[in-house]
Amino acid sequence: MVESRSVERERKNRQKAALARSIVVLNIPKVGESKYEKLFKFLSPRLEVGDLGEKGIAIQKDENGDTTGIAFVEYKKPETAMRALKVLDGFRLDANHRLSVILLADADKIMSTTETFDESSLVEKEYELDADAQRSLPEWLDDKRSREQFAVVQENNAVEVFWFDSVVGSERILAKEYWTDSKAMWSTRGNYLATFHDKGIAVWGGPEFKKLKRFPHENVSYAQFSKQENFLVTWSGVEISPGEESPPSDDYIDDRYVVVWEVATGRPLRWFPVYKRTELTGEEGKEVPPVWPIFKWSPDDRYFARLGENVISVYTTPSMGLLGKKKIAIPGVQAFEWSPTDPIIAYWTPEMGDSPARVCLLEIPSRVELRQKGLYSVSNVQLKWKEDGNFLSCRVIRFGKNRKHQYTNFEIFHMRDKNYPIDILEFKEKEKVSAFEWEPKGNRFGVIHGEEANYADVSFYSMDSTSTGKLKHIFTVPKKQFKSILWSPLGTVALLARVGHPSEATNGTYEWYNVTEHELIGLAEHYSATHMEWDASGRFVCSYTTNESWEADNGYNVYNISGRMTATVNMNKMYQFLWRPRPQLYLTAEQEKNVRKNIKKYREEFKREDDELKESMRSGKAAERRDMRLKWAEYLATKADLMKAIEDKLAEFNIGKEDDYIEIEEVEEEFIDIKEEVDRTRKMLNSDDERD
Amino acid sequence: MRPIILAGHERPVTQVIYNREGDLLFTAARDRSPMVWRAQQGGARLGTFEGHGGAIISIDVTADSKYLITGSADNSARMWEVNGGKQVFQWDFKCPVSSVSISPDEKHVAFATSMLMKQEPEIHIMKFSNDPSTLEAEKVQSLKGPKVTMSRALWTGAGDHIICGAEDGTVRKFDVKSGEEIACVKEHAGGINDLQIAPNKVHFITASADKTAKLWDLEDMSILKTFKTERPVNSAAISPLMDHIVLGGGQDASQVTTTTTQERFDSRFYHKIYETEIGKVGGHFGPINAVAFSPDGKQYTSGGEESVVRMHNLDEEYFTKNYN
Repeated sequence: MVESRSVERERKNRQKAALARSIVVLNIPKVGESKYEKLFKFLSPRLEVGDLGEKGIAIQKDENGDTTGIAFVEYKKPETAMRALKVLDGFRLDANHRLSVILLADADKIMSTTETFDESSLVEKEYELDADAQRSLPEWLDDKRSREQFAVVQENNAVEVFWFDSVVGSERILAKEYWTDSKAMWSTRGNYLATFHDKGIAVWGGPEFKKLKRFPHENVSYAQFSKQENFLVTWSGVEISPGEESPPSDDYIDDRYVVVWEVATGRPLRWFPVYKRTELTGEEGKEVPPVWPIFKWSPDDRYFARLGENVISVYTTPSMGLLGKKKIAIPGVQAFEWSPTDPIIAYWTPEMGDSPARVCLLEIPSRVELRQKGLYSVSNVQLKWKEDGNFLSCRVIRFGKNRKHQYTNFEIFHMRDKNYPIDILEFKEKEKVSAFEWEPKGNRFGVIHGEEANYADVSFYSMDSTSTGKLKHIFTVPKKQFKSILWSPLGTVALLARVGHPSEATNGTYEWYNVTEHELIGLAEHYSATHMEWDASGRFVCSYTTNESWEADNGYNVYNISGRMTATVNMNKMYQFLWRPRPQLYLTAEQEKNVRKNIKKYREEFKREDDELKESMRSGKAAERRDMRLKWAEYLATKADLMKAIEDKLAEFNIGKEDDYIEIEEVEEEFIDIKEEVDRTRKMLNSDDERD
Repeated sequence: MRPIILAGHERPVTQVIYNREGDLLFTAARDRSPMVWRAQQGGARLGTFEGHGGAIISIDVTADSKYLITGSADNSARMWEVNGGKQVFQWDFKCPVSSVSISPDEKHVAFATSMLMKQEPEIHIMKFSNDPSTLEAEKVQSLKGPKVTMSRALWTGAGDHIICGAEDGTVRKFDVKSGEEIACVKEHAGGINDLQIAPNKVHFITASADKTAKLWDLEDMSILKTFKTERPVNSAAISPLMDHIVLGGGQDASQVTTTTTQERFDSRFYHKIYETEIGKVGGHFGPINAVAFSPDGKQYTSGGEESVVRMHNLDEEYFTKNYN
């Protein structure tokens, strides 16, 4: 069964690969049988832009032997097909014949597209490449005790993978020194672990973390998995000036380019130069860090898109061609984001002349503008989709009347309603909004806002996914120094945190809130923390200190959902802490409901299991310690003679015998009352505080 | 546990030691005035020893508590009457004195001098006498080993050897009679900030900038236990009573300026046999430079970079708790 499935997959892959290597050339001259040879001779050198594949060039003929105006070309490599598309599409053979070229893969799609648009065709036709992996439960999700995994990168570039275990302590699955040259990352859905090396990216997976694929890319510094992790994008971070491009070639990939790979096969599919923005914008001499990710992926891996000057370029997979062979021209476009669930792009453009700034929803691939909203006096817009795709929030920062102050409001699009109606949430002028976070499940969000520099209010709001005008303030936690809201992936619990750099005052303070009950449920501190992150299941949250941010106190603390610390680990040097992501929930709504119904039963079961484990660990640890004590006693016994010998010898010295004693009471020359000392210390402490 | 706060020093504390009976506490700091305190009854300051022209780096006291010997960055070591605080003798060197140790028979004293102006670091074994009137500055042996500053050079056991820890992370053992280096072991990845001999005289503990402390066998120089922390360890002491050790530390001196405003410098107690942390005592608002147990093990004292000395009488609970 497994075998036939893999054979089937192999066949499909081969077929797909052949599709990607071939092009269809339209609009070639139609000639009769007699002129066929001549036409072939005329066309061949033009179509042969690179090494040809098995099938080479085929000019289609009808039943009479006349050519139909169509030719098929198969190349050795998909890159050549891509280039042929570029070179040949629009090529003028003569006055009447301008060639039109499409990739066979695209043609295949075009042919299979029905006249009427069927939405289900999009949903059902998942990208098959990894279909098996997606449907069968990966072994790491099948843990008996449903534990989470995490990886750390620590001293000696050692990568270690653990089962997180709050009951008996985390269990190390594997550890390898120098497993990476710099860092490691999990793939989007958690199936792969990628390690960065000077020569490229290595991808590991399976229960033993075997090496699955290598992606050679000299000096790679950036990597990104697509949403369904079918594709990997790598980049060295080098931006080049226009004109510095390397000449197109089939077998040479410029290391400076950003490369899109197919994860399953390890094949590079397409590569792109990244141009220096300073030169593009004319702002020379200004060092700007590279923008990453360069591409944003659609939720189903069918498209990836890149922001350009006045354009968004949407590419299709697996052909890697531009959608509709044209970039989408959007004058002034500043930023865009894919919906996390639908093939919809949201973007915004600033005010230009008399026309207002706009936020638009664009459907892909139809390029139909679903909704647009005009906005005035806009300084900036930040787009944030809700994870379930139900809402899109736009944080709009506007200039006040005299342009002195800025103020913020939120335009929230309802994505599941007809015509995409909008709710608006406004904040006072002068009030700064430093964070906006959607509750991953549920219809709430949290905002940190305030006029003061150091203190801000944290407010929670709820809304209705089915109708507008129901945006409601729930409650506010006033005057706090928090900078971020971290919702549990399951919703309901929001963690307020100030975490960034340990040198900042009140860094590493946390409060957990049950937003449904409006209740503070937990408090914790980890002053030296530089990062904080929930695990994928929403049961644990980890605060950690990495070496890049802070040299001392490296390590991590893990808290449960109500802020109780369940683990604390110190390390000499820790570079990364990475919870393993999980794919979306496998349970159906019905199953989930069932679990909730029987929660009490499950809870008891789990508690009993945990207690048993704890007990066995306690007795195990006690035995281990008894052993250590015995060994120590044995060791000390071997030293007994030596101790005795030293003691005897020291006694011989007869140093400091009784009659040498002096009465210390007499030497008192100065006596300071201890109370005063305490006061002085307090003063020192206070003055220290004032200084800060 | 309420600590007794001894606020007399004005600069970072460098060493704290108890006398043999444990009723007196001597403290040295980068100011020029070593101090003596009553270790019990409220920690009153009994006196200061005025005269040095530089930071005090190391001190030692005779077994009868009559004399204190101090080593200073002013290139001298001095001998003081504890009773009265009068200077009674002075040794002069070409370099700062980084360590002072009186031999168990009190016939010699070892001074380690640090590297300065092309002078090689050296341990000077000088004649010593409990009667300063007969004392002369006479060198009987010179020990040369590490080419970097030695943080501690101490007499061991019955006084046949000197053990020293250095900034290059090495620990060396010298035979005093022959002057030979008989062992040189590098087990620490960072410099050694402190070295203390166990009350049972067969172990010693090293505190290192590599964020660990290690317990050694003095005889064969092997590592018995390693205590890991996440910050440089400046000082380590072995309890004479419990199977515990205490560590003090914080950031490297070079990092101190980036220290945050929050109080986070703890003395950390580890179980000597299990190598696991068993408790913390906070309070210092600078890195801890020196820790010491009282001879009875019921008290310990810590001295910080912020110049405060904190003396702690350990709670009843500390002694009765089951650490297994």
